[in-house]
Amino acid sequence: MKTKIESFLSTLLIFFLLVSLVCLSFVYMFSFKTRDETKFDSDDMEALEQNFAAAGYMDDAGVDNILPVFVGVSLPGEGERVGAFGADVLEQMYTDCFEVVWQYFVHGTAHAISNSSADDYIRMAKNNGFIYIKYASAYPKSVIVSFTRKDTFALNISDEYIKEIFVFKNNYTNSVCVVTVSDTGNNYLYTGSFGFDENFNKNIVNEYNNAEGTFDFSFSSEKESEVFISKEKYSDAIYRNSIIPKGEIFLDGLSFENVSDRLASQGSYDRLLSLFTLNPEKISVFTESDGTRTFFEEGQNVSIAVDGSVKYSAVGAGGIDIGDVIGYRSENSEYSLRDKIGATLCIVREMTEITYISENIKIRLSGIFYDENDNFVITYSASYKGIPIICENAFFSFTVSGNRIKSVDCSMFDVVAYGDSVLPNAMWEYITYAASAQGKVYSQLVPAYAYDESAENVYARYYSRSACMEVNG
Amino acid sequence: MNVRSLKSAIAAFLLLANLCFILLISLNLRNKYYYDSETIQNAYSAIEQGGFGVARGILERKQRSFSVYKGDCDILSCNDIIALYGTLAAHYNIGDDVSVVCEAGEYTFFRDGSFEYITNSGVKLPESTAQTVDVTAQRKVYKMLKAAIEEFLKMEELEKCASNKKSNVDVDIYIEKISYDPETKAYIVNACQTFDGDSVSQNGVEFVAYDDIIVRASGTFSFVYPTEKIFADSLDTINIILCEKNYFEGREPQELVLSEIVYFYSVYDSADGSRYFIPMCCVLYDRADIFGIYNLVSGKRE
Repeated sequence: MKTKIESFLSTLLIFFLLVSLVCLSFVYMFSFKTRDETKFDSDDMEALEQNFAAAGYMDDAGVDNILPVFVGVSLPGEGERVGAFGADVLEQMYTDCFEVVWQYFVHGTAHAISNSSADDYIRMAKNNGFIYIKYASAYPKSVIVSFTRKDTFALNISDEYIKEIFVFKNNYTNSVCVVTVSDTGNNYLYTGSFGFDENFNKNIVNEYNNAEGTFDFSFSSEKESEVFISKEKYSDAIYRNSIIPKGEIFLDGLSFENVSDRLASQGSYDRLLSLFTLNPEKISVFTESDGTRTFFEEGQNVSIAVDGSVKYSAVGAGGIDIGDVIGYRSENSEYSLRDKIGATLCIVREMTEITYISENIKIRLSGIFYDENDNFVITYSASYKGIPIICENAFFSFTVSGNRIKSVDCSMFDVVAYGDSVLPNAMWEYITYAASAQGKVYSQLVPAYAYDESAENVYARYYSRSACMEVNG
Repeated sequence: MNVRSLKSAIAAFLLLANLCFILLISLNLRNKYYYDSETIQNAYSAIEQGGFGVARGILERKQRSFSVYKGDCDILSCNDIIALYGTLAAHYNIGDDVSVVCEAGEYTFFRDGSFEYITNSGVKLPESTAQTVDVTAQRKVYKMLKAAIEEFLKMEELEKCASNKKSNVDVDIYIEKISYDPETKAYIVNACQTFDGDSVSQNGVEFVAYDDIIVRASGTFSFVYPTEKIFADSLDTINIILCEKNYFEGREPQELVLSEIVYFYSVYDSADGSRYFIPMCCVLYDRADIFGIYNLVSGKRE
């Protein structure tokens, strides 16, 4: 019996030692194993630092800076159409419409298409029902998407320029798709499956139909048979997607104010000099005969004129570093187009705070181009409740060379609203314009205010976008 | 050889093999978390050439592994958290810092992750800490104030509320120092929030209390708990010290002794609405006016 117990215990001991050996060998093997779980490494940190900087300038950037000049939605045919030029309703409609658009821009597939294909798709859109968004200028897609939906900022979005957007049901594929048009003829068809059917815009039409500030409208291409001048002359003079509102549209009257007084205090000077990286302890000041005060410091200067315009310029290697403005220093010293625009918007925000410009004035991105010296130029214009204010000089103009802002021109003003007035009849404006136009100009007329500091009241009128002149001026 | 001898031999062999594995595993784990003595000696002698000194014990300590914590940054989107502290102030504007009022006072949640609380009671607050007495060691006071702070921050409710329920991080508040001001009879408590035992910010939170009533608080405290924990590929101690040595090469002062490395987290907000807590360290020297702060993930000196 004792032998049996001993034998059993020794077998049990061997079994236990064998099991523990197996376990320990596994533990030993796993103790070498490197962690294969998700790691947060220096590349992720680099992306986060860039994003963190963006989070800083994204406080200053938003829908206001790329607000379209027109948003329109239509059910099939010309049955129910609703559009808006300005006021809060424009921003709300745009935001709602963009809820459909952004998915195609971020997750859809882009196909480059020719001008004639784009024309075909736009014709299809006008018949089938659409969402139409028209921007003041062609903007990079990355800017449009991330400024409109800030939660998409971390996504890598390409920079194709977009001026007009049509969302519609494509008869060939029986699916909803998006066509984008730019000034340069770079047109794209965006496709993807996001669960939208032919009713993709019905809720928007229902929500905004009869809302204050909205109106029924037609495209100029749909009115070719109704004009009493030749169809050819009309279609050569007027851009096919020009908007002709139906009914009366009331817009505020304005008077313009000079902001020079607001810049005259020592506090404003200090903030301006600090904004443009001039050291108040090292500057020298020169006052010209016309009253313009110029502050100099090591290759850069700031001029403040009596009319309230402010100019900054730097020579040589000087200038405002983009990284310093956005608070992020790129490892490879390369900043994206969006970072450069973000940096300029930080300066725009500070300038509008120094001059405490009315909240009704929105600063809209109006131009992104290269000048004759290959410098990158970013301009901003002012709008009053979404309606453009036409001015000889850009509200803000930035010249960027490499990673430095070399010059800034600010021609700011403020507005006070006085009563309202009705916009002239759009159809007559188009006919008048087409009748007097010479050759093919493919222009469009947009309601705008013309800046005039001396006028007591300035009312919105239709202005030609190509010629920038008042139709009945 | 009989069966009994064979069994004994096998048992002895297995026992030896087990012991061998236990030894190898312990050595392996030690190598993973500690530098070996030769490396430490070589590192000290390499680092300490040219007048740069390092206090003994720093390299010998267990090597830390860190995580990056990720969560929402917008307290406004968490109504249940706001409701714990009061109601949104009437003067609140979208885009501003978030002000929440309650019967006793007003909380302001700043956009950089910090907050402030001021009571309505108008009590006299200590103006300077020059006359204060350190009472951290008094257990009764420590316990009373720890409970008061937890009650004030509503730590229990905060952990249970829907917005923080999905968090897998152990969040606590750690009291570093308690000072007593005999003039105003107020306690000044320096504390910091911890995630899994690590300080969330370098500066922590300062509370002013009269007995167990908090009348003022300000500092960094994440009311929205992180929901994701990502293993951080971070810089180790030797590399931090080597970076510091390189930084001071050719700079004044030449004679410095690195005395301590303190770890904490720094807040980074992403434009997509996420808040990241990134491991950082502060390198301290024998001179109080000199220090270096490192981002342990990027390896950059801030």
